[in-house]
Amino acid sequence: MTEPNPLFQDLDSERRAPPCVLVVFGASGDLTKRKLMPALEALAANRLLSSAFVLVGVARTQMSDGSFRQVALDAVEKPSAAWQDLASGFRYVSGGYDDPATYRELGRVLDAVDAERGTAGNRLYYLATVPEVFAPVAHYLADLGLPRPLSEDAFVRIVVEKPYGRDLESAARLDAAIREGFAEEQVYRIDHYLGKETVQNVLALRFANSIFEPIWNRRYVSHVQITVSESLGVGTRGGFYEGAGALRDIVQNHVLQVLALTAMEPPATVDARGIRDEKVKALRAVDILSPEEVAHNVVAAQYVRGWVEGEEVPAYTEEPGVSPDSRTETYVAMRLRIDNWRWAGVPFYVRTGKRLPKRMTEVAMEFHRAPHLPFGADQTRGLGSNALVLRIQPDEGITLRFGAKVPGQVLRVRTVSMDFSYEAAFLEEAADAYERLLLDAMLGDPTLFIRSDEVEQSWRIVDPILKVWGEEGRPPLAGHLAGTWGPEEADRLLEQDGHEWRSP
Amino acid sequence: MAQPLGPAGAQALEPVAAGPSELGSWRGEGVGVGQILDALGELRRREPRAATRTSVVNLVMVAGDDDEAERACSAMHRLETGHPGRTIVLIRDDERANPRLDAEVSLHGAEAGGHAVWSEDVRLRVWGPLGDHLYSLVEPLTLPDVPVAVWFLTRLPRPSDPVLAAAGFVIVDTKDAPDDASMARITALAQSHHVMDLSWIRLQPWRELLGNLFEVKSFRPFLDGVRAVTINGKAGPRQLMAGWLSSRLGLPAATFTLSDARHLVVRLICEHEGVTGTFTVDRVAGERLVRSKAEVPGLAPYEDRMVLQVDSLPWSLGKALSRLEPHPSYGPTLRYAISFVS
Repeated sequence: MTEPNPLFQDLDSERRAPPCVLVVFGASGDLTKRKLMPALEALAANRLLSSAFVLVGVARTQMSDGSFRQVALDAVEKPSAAWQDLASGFRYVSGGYDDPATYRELGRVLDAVDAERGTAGNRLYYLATVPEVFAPVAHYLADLGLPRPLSEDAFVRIVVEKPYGRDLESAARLDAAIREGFAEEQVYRIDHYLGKETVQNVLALRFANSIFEPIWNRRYVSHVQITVSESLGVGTRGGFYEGAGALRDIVQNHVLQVLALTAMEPPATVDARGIRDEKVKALRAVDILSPEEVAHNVVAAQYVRGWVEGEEVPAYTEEPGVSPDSRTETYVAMRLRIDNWRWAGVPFYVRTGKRLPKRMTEVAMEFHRAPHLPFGADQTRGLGSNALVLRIQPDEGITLRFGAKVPGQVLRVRTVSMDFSYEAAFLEEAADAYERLLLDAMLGDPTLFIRSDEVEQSWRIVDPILKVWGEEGRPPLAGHLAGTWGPEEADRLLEQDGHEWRSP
Repeated sequence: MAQPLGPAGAQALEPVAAGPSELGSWRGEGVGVGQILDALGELRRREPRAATRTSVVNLVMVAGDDDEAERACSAMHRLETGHPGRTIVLIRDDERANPRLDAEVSLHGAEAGGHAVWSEDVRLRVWGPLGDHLYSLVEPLTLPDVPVAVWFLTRLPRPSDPVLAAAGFVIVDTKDAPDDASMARITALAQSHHVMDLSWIRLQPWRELLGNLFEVKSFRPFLDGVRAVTINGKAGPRQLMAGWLSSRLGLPAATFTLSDARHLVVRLICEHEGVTGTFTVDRVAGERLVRSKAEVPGLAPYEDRMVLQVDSLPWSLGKALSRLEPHPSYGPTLRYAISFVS
């Protein structure tokens, strides 16, 4: 083993990636251009990539190395000098994902890159293709022995984009295919939500402070609301979305990950094992809905023509690539229960949808009302329940809502907000989620990636709902106007418990 | 038994702070909400910042033209050390057939109690059919977890107007709604929304002085013998004043005589044990003073005065934004006031 460099360890750039080849499958696709290349460029510009970093693109599209290098330069508005230098060494392999020749050619390119650029046999494979080819790619990589590190010092890892399966069974099949060649510790299942600073800040808020954790339980919390809303429609992803829907696309991954971080017990250590063990325990405690309960606890809807952010937008069924009689849900609201000592009896309401009034993600802890208000009704008309709101995007920050006396001769109490703004408190702009996660994967830190048992537990929660919907030929759909917060059925879900959705 | 009219103790009203200065601005034609939010973020990033957001209110103004908007914005700027927040002005323009959004965004800074506070103005000109869908602009532009007050300048919304869906509070001015239909509309609004009426707030000095007259022990019995009430003033406020007196004192409509005048004058003719007294609250000619006067034969004359704010719009708007909940007497007052609209 090479000894760590003592002059490097106390530098701010300690988290600099080691020499490495990043092999992106789906290199001509949208995700690569929109997310991966800009994130890599930012890492390069901040001197967080090694000078021995090489990007190798693999895709069906015919392209030369030179054209691929140009794609990399065009993917960012103003490419830094560091990115331009690195891009001159980028390589491209074109071929079918189910063609063994593609992988043989890839193997030759990797050997050449190691020899020419000093990448030391370190490999990070990134599956940025359509999900149907995840398993074949993993299989052919295994077939050629590419998951095996070339030396004791070298690493080989694979990053798998969502969706990780379509249900519990297909996720297990995909896992088996990937594990054919890769050990669990080599597999980095990505959910870019976990790369967001403010999602990680849920951990900091809860476990670095002594004032929040004592009230983070059923004794004080009345209910929890998690909202992941998008103002955009399906755009060019209509074809994909038709086979997915909001439950698979957002709830199974982003929503349940945020829920797990909110509900989990304090880990002994904030490392990959400590955090992921506790997240799995929280997900395992989520009560599985019986077929009868699905009807009473889950609302699915689809948006119809309306106005969002000042623009008239079509109904989902009028979007490109979407069937005119589609029954795919673009909105889901659910009531979940977590059966453990901390959360017994506390409903977790989650909602997600497209074409809602604005793009935002937040977790709101709504607290019980004071057991006794020693004020007259007239004095507390403007008083709502206390709440702690974690705003994950945009306008990242934390708001505490509480009652305060209105200045004046009479005693009246009104709800006020105390607000912490990330942007205002820290002058540095937060790194993009993909920057953080790509760097973590190169450094071998899986803390913010999803372990196979987390995937399994998430599907265990979602699968019964899909089964009920499947038996009924897709969900019983409510309609809601684009630009509104969802259907009335979702409002009733909370009204039954004496609550109402927040207006975020 | 009549109920007391109001709290004791007339007082001078607090002064309104000077306005903030503009720190930066941006404008664009044919823009989207995303560009507007980016511009707001960019303007904020250029300035040194505090770790906390200082906004306390979202004020959405729906204006008919630029002059209306300017007047209301100027009133809001006068308040912004006390009520920093985001003001969103929507000006509808039907000249173009195609929907289009033009925006002017500005960041304002001021100092309050030694701390820098910011306010943001987002002035939107909305063209074509987009004017029918203003609500789609309001939700994405309001700050989260800060109260949203919607102020329809000079026109009243229907209770079902979608813009109101985002509103925690609705600001109206009865002075701009003098006919029975508009008074009925305010009454309907008040049943479904928290309504704050600027005219009602401006009546406070009159109500306070009138109430205080009957805090004088020797005058108090006269309140049980009100024989006639005359109210002169602008349409809207005079009906509100009549509605308030009627609801608080249980007086039939026939007791009241209302007529038009520039400044509000309230006069109660009361009897007690065969003695007739006159109790008046009016403006002192040529001055920003409200005066109350009691004239009862055999008793010492009584007079009290209260200073009015030089600019009543920022003052009443500031009061509305401080309170952010309807006054408990406002609902009953409205229900009675409607019977005084001819």
